[in-house]
Amino acid sequence: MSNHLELLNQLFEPIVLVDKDQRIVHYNHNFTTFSKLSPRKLKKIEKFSDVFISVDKKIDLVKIFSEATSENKTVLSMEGEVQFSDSLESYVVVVKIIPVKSNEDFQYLICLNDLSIEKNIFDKYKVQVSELKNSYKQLVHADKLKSIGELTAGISHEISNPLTIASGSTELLEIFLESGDVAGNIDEIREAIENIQSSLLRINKITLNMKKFVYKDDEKKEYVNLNSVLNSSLELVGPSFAQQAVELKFESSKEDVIAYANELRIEQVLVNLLKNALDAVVLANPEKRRVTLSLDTSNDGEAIFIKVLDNGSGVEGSITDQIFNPFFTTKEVGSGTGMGLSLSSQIIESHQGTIIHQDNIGAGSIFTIELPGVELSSYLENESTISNLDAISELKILVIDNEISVLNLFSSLFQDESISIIGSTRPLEALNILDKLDVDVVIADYNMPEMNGSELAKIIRDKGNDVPIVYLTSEDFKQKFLDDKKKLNISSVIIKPFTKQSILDSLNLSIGDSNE
Amino acid sequence: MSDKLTTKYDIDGDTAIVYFKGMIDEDSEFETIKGLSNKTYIFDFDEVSLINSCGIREWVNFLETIPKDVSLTYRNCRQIIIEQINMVHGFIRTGACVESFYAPYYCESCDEEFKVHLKSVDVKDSKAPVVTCSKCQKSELEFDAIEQQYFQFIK
Repeated sequence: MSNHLELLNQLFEPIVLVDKDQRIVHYNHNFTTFSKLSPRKLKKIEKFSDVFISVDKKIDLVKIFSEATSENKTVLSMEGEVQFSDSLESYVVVVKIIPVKSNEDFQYLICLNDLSIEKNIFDKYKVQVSELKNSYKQLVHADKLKSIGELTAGISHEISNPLTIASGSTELLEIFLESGDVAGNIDEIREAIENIQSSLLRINKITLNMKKFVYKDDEKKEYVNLNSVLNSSLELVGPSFAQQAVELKFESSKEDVIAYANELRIEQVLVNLLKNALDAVVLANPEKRRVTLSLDTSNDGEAIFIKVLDNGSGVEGSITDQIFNPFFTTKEVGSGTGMGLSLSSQIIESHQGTIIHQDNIGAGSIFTIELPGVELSSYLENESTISNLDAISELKILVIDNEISVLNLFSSLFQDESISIIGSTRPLEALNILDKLDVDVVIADYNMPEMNGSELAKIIRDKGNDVPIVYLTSEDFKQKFLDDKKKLNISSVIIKPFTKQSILDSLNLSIGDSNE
Repeated sequence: MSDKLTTKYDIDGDTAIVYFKGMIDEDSEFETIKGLSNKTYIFDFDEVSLINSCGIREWVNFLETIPKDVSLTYRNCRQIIIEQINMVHGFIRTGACVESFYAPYYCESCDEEFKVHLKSVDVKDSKAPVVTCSKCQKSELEFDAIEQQYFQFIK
């Protein structure tokens, strides 16, 4: 036994050996150091549970000791905060009690695992991460303000055009009214009024666009049509391009390219890339100054590509691997913060995408952004939420509707629930997703351009997939549900306009049926 | 008031006397004294309130920046420092000496604990020096730790 005691003395962990009545038989040196209880004090202690108090009541030493002694098994406590007698200092520990056979009887090793430092560092880490997130938000905002500052000259030039038209039309109206011959000039008067109205609308749109870009800031993603996002970016930078006589082209392979993204953050990235392209072209001053913005998808719809191509000065080979680093700039001090590409890269990464640079053929650069298709990105976004949850009872629902407003409505209605929405605007791409992912329910709009609900359901069933399917449709098409209910095992129907409750009722019906 | 570690030093010829105050932990920095190029360092721990394993790591890393031929002396070591010296390899470098420290004593008559300032040279054969209670002036204080373990560093 003395050899074993000597072994205990060599251990770093504070350890006490007690008998079945919790009387202290032996303790190692580290226990006195840890507890700050001298041998004199420990001699006076009648039972071990008098040694410390559980500050947060998470460690019931009497209870776990009783469990260890009655069942003669090793027992582990929860992590808890304790204070040793006569001391104000507290520690975060886990207590382990191990029965040890000694002659005919049992003794109990009480081991204390001190987690105070880990907890302290973890708490500091959380505070620092929160501060970093705030700093990042401020950087993003500062980057936006810088962009707007740089675009102001072009934007104010853009506003001056409609202002000139409105002013000129107002003068004309004055002339017509002074002439007294309103009836004779009625067409010209109407035209002047229309010109004033359209000019004011144009100015309003420009300023609203700017205001939205600068002031709206949340990290929420939603289903957006990237064509309109790219067009908004072009409107912001267009005046600057016109001022510098640089042609700005936009090429899009499809009318609707839907993504699950934060519209303003993507716009911020595009504004950064387009401004950089403009600067590069002005610097190089080629004969034909041109920047092209293009939007395309992969054949299977799983990837979206946005490209900014310019025939400007390009990026030197020696610095290509640094351009996405924070604070890296080739501009003079005061002309560029070096944060534009770094922030853009982080924004794209937060969308599970990538951004790369390549040299353009001949001269200039191509920046290519690759984003996951709408189904994959909404799934990935939801998966990261799911993995953070303690309770794993997330319902995964695939919603297929060509109207992004419907997908956004589903997302909003269920954002705080234990329901994960994966959205798709195209049945064919939704079928691809179903081949790769397990979902709990499919909710499909009945009338979609690519195929209707019955055609979609038939393909799903022919593949041997018995996932519950719910039709989303108007009252006029309810009969289709009734026809397909038995034929294609359609669980339920949600009639538009729908409420959250009607969706939940339908889900309960579908999940209930599938459990049977 | 923050108990973050502060350091200040006095230079006396070839000797730098460094005074530590506060907690030696994961936030401690020793930048102010890293650049000193004295032949002798005396580290005074009289006002150190706490030291944890992260602080020990920072301390050991700091010691490695001091050239091997520099003489190191530890002075006025609090009980927490002595405990670390006895437990952690590298806290006190080979060749360094602990000049003075505090040891725990107890007076049974007064029922009071004392931290008594001792010099290492006064400890013979790991036996705690005899000390009379400064309060009652009568009783001999009882050494309030295990001598073999506490005076291990002196060996």
